[in-house]
Amino acid sequence: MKKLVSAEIVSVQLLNQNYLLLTVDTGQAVKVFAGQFATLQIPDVFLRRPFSIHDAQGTRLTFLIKIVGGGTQKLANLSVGQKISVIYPLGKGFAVSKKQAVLVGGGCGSAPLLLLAKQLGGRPLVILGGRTKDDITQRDAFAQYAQVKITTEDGSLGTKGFVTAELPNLSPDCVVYACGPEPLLRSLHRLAQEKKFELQLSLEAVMACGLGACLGCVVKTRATGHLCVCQDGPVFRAEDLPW
Amino acid sequence: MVDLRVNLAGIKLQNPVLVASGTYGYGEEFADFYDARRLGAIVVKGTTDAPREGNPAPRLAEAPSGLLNAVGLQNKGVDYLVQEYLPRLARLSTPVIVNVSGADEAEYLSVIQKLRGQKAVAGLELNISCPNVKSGGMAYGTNPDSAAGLVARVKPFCDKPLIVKLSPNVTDIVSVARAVENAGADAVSLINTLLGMAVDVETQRPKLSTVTGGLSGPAVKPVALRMVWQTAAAVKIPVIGMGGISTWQDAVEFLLAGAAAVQVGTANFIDPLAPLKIIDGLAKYLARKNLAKVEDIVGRLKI
Repeated sequence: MKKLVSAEIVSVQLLNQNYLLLTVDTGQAVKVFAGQFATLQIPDVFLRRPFSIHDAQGTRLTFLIKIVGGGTQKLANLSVGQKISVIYPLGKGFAVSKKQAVLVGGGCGSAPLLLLAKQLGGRPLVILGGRTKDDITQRDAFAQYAQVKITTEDGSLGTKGFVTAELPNLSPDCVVYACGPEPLLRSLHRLAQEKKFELQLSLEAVMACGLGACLGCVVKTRATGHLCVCQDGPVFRAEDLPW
Repeated sequence: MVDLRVNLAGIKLQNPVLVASGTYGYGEEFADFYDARRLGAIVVKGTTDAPREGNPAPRLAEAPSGLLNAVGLQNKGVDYLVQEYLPRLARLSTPVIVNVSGADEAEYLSVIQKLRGQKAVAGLELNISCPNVKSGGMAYGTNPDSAAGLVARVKPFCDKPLIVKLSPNVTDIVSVARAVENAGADAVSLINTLLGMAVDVETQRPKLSTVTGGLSGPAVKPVALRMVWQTAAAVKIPVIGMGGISTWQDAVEFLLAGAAAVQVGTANFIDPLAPLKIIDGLAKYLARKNLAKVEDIVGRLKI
């Protein structure tokens, strides 16, 4: 059941100049599945903004947010104690599978993977990729629940190259959960077709309502036409996307 | 006790606050937040005869105090509406108004005929103002003669009150309103979205797949209010006002300008509780002004 709450900001932590860790207290404990998201009503921003739920503990939700524009900058400027309207949990999360799991996050795409690593258990492999070391933000948090490998395009941290450089040999007994920029997701999609592993992709889209009402955030699917990223996703099975 | 009830061209509403087509889904998307039975009426998504895929993504672009959309009437078609959505909507006591869309006269007629006899349907809103489809839609609504022609053609087949939703993308909305009134419309609703566009300066591409789209939200409110005022002064049938209504004060402005009822659209996306806050705020306002009923302020703008 979706909740609309006035949540209290309990922590605003700038991880570096581009990334923000925001924690709010919703006042009620609601079961959140990894991959679900929330919309926040940022002061003086017209539409609500969707953010992956990075972590959920008790009544608290944490968001890992990349500061990309005016709205996210305003979030970074919020103070502890302020109230913010939050609707959550939204969308369908990752379908947890018993297969050997590999989690792949590109930049801010690592956001939904922390909760997934926690919920999967068994210390899965997480590959965190970024352009530079600044895009690798929650290494220690991930290390509590997963084996972490890091890639950066400029080689400033971890292995130089794309996340694919650290991918293990993937068989049909593996499942890859991925979130990140579309070129990353598309390259994984190609690889999954070749090696026949299961692939679940968390997509990003501009949204208006986040509730499946406005039909604004659609993605074209192979069999079922336009589906809403907000309600039918944000996680889709790779084979359903006609990429 | 303030009486919020209104009779809208024969549709009895417990209050004059409706949720606008395409902004509320089918009564289920907002069910976790409040009981839809509190609404005056639900206007469901634009419905065509055959299912429609709508336009490709991207379909949304934020504008200052507004939203551009290019959804393009994505819907599952009237048969699906009748079989799946209407039975569930019927369990609510809230009147349901179906927004009827089409590419041509035959499609409008087919949708209307398939809705005949549906007890869950309290009224029809004829969409002659969608700016996001290539044929039909706004093509009918931007010319008084073609608008009147369509209304005259479909009206005999309507077994429910016919509301005609008008486009603001015209030189003179009053002439269109008068034309559809003369052709048999039972009410008019206005405004649909204003044609607009936005450009991404980095990619140098339009932000919408269709280049242009429909602007809604507070950005259009002054234009909508002006059009409602002009139209209400010119026609005898009820006028349903919409365009950026987000607060009870906005709603009161439209009622004073002559709207018999209002629709809340884009505000649903930002605050799902907006319609309820408007209903409650309107009741308090009337009580504070020592007015017994909604019609005591309809068209009572002091000039």
